[in-house]
Amino acid sequence: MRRQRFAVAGVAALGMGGIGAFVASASPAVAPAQNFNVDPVHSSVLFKVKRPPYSTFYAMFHDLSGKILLDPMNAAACSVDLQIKADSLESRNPDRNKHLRSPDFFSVKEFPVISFKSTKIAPGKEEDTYVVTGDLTLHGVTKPITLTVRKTGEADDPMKNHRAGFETSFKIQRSDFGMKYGIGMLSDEVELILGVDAIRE
Amino acid sequence: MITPSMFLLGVLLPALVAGLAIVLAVVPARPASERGERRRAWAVPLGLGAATLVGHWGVTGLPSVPPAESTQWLFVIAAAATALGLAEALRPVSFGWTWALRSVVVVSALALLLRPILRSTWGPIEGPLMVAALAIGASASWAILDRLADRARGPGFPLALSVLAGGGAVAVGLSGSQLVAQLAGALAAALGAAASVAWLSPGLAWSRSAAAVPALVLPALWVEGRFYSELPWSSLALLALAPGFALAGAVGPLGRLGPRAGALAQAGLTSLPVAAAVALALPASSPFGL
Repeated sequence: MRRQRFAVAGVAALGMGGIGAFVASASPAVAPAQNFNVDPVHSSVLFKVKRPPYSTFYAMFHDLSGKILLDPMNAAACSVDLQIKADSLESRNPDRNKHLRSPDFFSVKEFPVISFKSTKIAPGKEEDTYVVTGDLTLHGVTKPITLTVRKTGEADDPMKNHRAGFETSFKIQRSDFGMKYGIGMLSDEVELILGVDAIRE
Repeated sequence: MITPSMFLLGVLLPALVAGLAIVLAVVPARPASERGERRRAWAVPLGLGAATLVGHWGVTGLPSVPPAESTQWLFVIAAAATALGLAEALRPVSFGWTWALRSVVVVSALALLLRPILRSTWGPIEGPLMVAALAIGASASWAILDRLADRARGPGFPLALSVLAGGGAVAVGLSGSQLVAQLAGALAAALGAAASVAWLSPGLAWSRSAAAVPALVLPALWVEGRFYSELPWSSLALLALAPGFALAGAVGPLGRLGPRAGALAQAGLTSLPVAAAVALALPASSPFGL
């Protein structure tokens, strides 16, 4: 009698454990938030300025770094922290690079880093988009901006690094950041274009 | 590229302000009177200082409070130089106190101007040593300008400094920053206007207070050009030596020339190191306009 009781209890316990394991395996997987490091080699920062009344002019920064915290299930838990080395500016002309790095524009020795730090992230209207609000620090001035970021893809590369890509573009008035030199010869409005490639830690 | 409004606000207006101040200085009721000398002593630093400040406003606008970047500190430095020049004119003190006050102003100006580099680039020994070396150079240059103000009559003093400021503006412009070049250009225009007025009054004597604005503002502009643009060290050194060349034209045989001929000699000698500074800045040249 006693043996029968133990046998029933054992079967019941096994049965409960089995059901528990089944339930656990059947529920949808909740991916945790993941840290990504910006890959400077495959990321791009361009800026575009008008030369009225003729044309538009593009230049870029070579050195972008930073971290992205990506939570696929919860946009509010995501964060972005980016830094650009201002003296990595490249305009395809050494003399113009010097001028752009001088106090007339970026004053890179005085303000060596351009940064963006998110303060709030929400899902965008379209799939794989985010509305990112944060503080842009440029030329020593910090201003809040809001931009729409599109996730361009996420997959393993041939080296088995897990990568995610993002892109965004937004416009600022450079005079808001204290860069007032030559407005008229060059537009006050500057468009920044970012393509970010990041590797999961 | 200099637009008409830049020319108006950054060149003509400073020249007008300085010119009016020098007219005020050279037209006392009796030129040899003590009252006339006193007026000259304060009118010149006031005129040059006001012209520099007006030029700064014309080129970059008024600075924020506190200044947000090094070019805005140049405005504060010009204001401090004007105040110091006025103080030296209105309340002369002993040689020791004069230089103690000047030293405080020079070191403070350099420390404020170079603050970002002192914080992030130079170490705790290198930074103070660099500021001290620059302060010694600026003070030596100021002492030479004092002597030049004592000895040069009529247009000699402002003409030589106008050549220095104008040539330095070209050197700094070639080194990357048109903005700093225009600030130097505004002072050159003011000194040029002063020289033009003084040309008509060749017996005009200068007081040492006249040296305050150029003695503090010009080194600050060269330092800005060196550390925030790409003015070569060699150009900086030549610009710093240029007042010595101007003084060489005011002593010895050249010192016995008449005021106008002497002024041309001083300006000609000043142009030698200035031209070399410009030539050395040429390899670092930047196109004017993007």
